[in-house]
Formats: sequence, structure tokens, C-alpha cells
Amino acid sequence: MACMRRCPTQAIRVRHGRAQISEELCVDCGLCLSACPEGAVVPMADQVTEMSRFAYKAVVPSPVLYAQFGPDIHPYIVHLALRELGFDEVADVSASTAALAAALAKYLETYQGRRPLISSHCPSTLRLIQVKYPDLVELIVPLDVPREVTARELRRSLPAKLGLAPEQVGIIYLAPCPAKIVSIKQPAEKEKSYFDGAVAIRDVYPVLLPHVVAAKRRFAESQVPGDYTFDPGWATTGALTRFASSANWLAVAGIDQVMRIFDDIENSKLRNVDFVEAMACMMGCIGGPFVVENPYVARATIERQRERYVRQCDVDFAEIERRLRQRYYFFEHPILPRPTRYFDTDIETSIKRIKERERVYQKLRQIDCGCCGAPTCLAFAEDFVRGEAELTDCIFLRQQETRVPS
Amino acid sequence: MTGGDFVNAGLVSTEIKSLLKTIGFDPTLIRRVAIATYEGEMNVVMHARRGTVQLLVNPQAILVTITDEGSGIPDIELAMQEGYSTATEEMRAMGFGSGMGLPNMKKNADDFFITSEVGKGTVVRMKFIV
Repeated sequence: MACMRRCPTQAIRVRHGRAQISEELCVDCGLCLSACPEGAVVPMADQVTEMSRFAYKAVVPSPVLYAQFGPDIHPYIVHLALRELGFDEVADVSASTAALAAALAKYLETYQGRRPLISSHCPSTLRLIQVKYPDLVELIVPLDVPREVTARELRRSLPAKLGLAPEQVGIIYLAPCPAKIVSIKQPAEKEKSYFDGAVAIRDVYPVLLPHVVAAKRRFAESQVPGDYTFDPGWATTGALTRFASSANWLAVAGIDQVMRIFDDIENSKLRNVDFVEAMACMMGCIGGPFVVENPYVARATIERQRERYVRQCDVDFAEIERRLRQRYYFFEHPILPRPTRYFDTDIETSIKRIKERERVYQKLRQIDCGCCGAPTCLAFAEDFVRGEAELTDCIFLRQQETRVPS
Repeated sequence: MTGGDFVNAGLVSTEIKSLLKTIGFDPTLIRRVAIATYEGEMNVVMHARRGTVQLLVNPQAILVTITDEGSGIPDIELAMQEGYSTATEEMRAMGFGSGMGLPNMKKNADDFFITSEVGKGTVVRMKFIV
């Protein structure tokens, strides 16, 4: 029942001893995965072995991957290790990150509409807005994310360069969270992701680690190619706003805090803020459910890596402006609200049901014990009104009913 | 709502917003109600001893009545002017007191009535047409 209590959108009910997740309400944040002591929540991730069906295999790691190995491991060592694991090419997102940061800065500069704008790179935050804050959908920056832009460019260049058919080239993402995997397997902002699959970092870590250790032993700084670029990117909270250098920004991480900020935006409280970077995981992607390293350790590692290994790529600002005009960086589909109809489409019936919910709620102990399988007494009252629960599911009401008068 | 309680300020309007979302009203309408209610709630926290919000909902309209016990407003016409504020230095330091509260409430509501008695308190009634 830990999963049910932890779910920020109350999407989980425990019925007949099993947890059921409402697809309508789920925002893919993965908190249930981390909360479950039994490991019963299984995400839809791929395995590395499934990549053998491709003649040429390219891998795009989330920058979070580099932070899993400690500050003495040069990020290029991780590239070498991934090659030894069987990937033909390792592509870094840093070039796309730099380009998109410049595109975002340009977009913020020329944007005239309602403020604050909200970052688009955390898919769980996007789902949260679609489900719980439909009025804020229009504030989401419509720019695509570094991983997709990286994969898109590989997909365009690789087949011709290698003389292979497009379907022979496989591009895979190493993800820190389930939300990014869902955004690749069931994208909402485009017809199809530019990736062929997505593997959880925690699944690749055990097989990758021996190769990292071995590669470190043989590694010499001179092996790093001249065109190699590295930047830890937007993996920690506040990093994107550092890139975008907008005057009035706010960086928030952790889904509960994100919801508080979104409530403030809805109340029109944050009037002087132009841009909000919002990430569902504590401390940003390094706090994702699919990482191995403790996020505080990972952040320390990233800061060291930033000092030691950063090699920025050149940004061609004229080219970025040209691409912005062509809408190259934009999401294919607009992000639309996905409001959940809690009761009924008809307002009058809804109002009646809200009253009924209140009447039932007043009969309950209001201690949110969770024994009925709903996370709170109010959620239980709502389930009952919707016809999805019996009053006798509540252990206190059941006791009252069965007590024999003396 | 309790005057001076800045820690819990905003909870009432957030709760009202969540209730309206559950019922399934149009998001733009909910935003107007939320903004106006939040401003009203902040006015109570800043200027009154305590206050209540009454919410009446039917398929045609949403009515919000905010009643407070406090010092009241001597000159309502002046208080309704944009930029006019009696907020203290401390309230301004917290980001409030821009003198937009009452004008914003009036702007977001379809109907807006305000009555006040000096030394007793203020009543704001707002109607939002569905």
C-alpha cells in the first residue's frame, strides 16, 4: 500500500489485494516503483539484448549515466565501456543541449504571451500539467528535448553515412526514469519517437560497470578525440535556467513542490516570474527512479565533472535562428490538456455527486488509514459515489454495521 | 482564515479550485475564480482578524462570498483604484501590497459587490457565470 500512499495524483487503488493504476491519472513519475517494497510495479523498459536485431547500434546516454561512476571516471571512459558492451556508436546529447538552450533563450526573448513559461524537458511534469493543471498547458515551452533532437539527427545522418537501410540502424536511449521511457514508447508530442527503444540506467549499470573499470585501467587522456564534447546538461535542477539565463527564473524539483508552484501559478501569485524549470524528481533527473547512485553523491560528481571535463560545443546562433523559424525544434503536436472527468460530463450531476461525496465523507473517521484500498477517506468517498467502492470496504463502517446491540 | 497567518494563506483558494476541477468546470473559468478567491483570501490575511469564504455552485453560476471581521475600508472608491494599497513594509517585502487585489477581483468576476463598515469588517460578493 506504500505505492498508493505515495502516488501524487491518487491514481492507485488496492482492490482484492492488488494495486491497480488508473492510466487516466498516471503521470509516469515512478514514485510507486521506488515505494514498493516488493518490486511489484514493473515498468515497460527494454533490455540491452533486444538491440541485437539491428545491424548498427547507436546509444544515447542520459548525462545522468556519467554521474553514476564517480568524479575520477572521465565521461569518455563510459563511452569506451558502452562500445565494449556492443554498441557501435555512442552519441552524446551535449550538442543538442547547447543548441536547445540557445533556442530556448531566443524563444523566451521574443515571447509575448502569458507568463511564466514552463520547461518542457521533464515528461512527467508535462503529464502532470495535462492531467491536473489543464489551464497551464498553454504555458509549456513548445520546444522538443535534447535526447529526441540528438536521435533525430542520428536517424537523418547514419543510414546514408553507413550505406544501411534506415531500419537496420537502431538508436537506443539510456533513461534515468520511467517517464522518459514512456515518452519514447508512447509519445504524446509526436507520431513516433526517433528512438527504437529505451533501457533503464539501473538495468545497464551492472553489465556496464566491469567494462568501465577495465576501460579506466587502459585509459589515457590522449584517446579522447578532438571533436569530443561533454556537458552534464540539464540533469540537475537549476542547470537549464543557468543555460537559458533568463532574468526572472525559478527552478523547482520534486513533484510535491512542483504542484505547490503550479498552484501558485494558477492563483496568479508568481506574477514576476518569466520562466519556471520544473522537474518531477527530487534534485532533477539525478534523482530519477532508475538511477543507481545516491542523488546527492551524483550531484557532487556532476559538479566535479563540470570543473574537470567540460568541453563545450560551438553554437551557431544564426543556424539556430534559422531552425527556429523553420520550427525544426518544435514539438510535432501541440501539448493538449488531458483533463480527467472525475464524475460525469454533466455539471449538474457532478454537483450532486460532490454533495454526496461530502455526505459520505462526514460519516468516515477521516484518518486516511488506507485499509479500504483508497489513499484517503475523501478518495474513498469519491470512489463510492462513482460506484467503484462499497461502504463496507471501510473497516470502521463495517464494524458499526455488524455490531450486535446488547 | 486567520489574519496574519501567511503560512496557510492560499489553502482555501487551492481547495476551492480543486473542488471546481473535480466538478469539471471549464479551466478558464476556474482560473478566474481561483485568482479572485486567492486575492480575497490574501486581503483577509493581510488586513483582517479573521474571515470566511462561502462557495455556492450551480450549473449556471459560481458565487463566492468573502466575509471578514476587521478594520473595514473607509473609502471603497479609493481602495478600488489600481495601485492603491495600505499594505505595510513587511507585507510588501513578502511580495504583496501592489494595490491590485480588489481591482483584480473585480476584473475576474462577472459581478462584483463590496460593502464595508469601518471597525467591523468587509463583505465581498463575486459572481462567475458558467
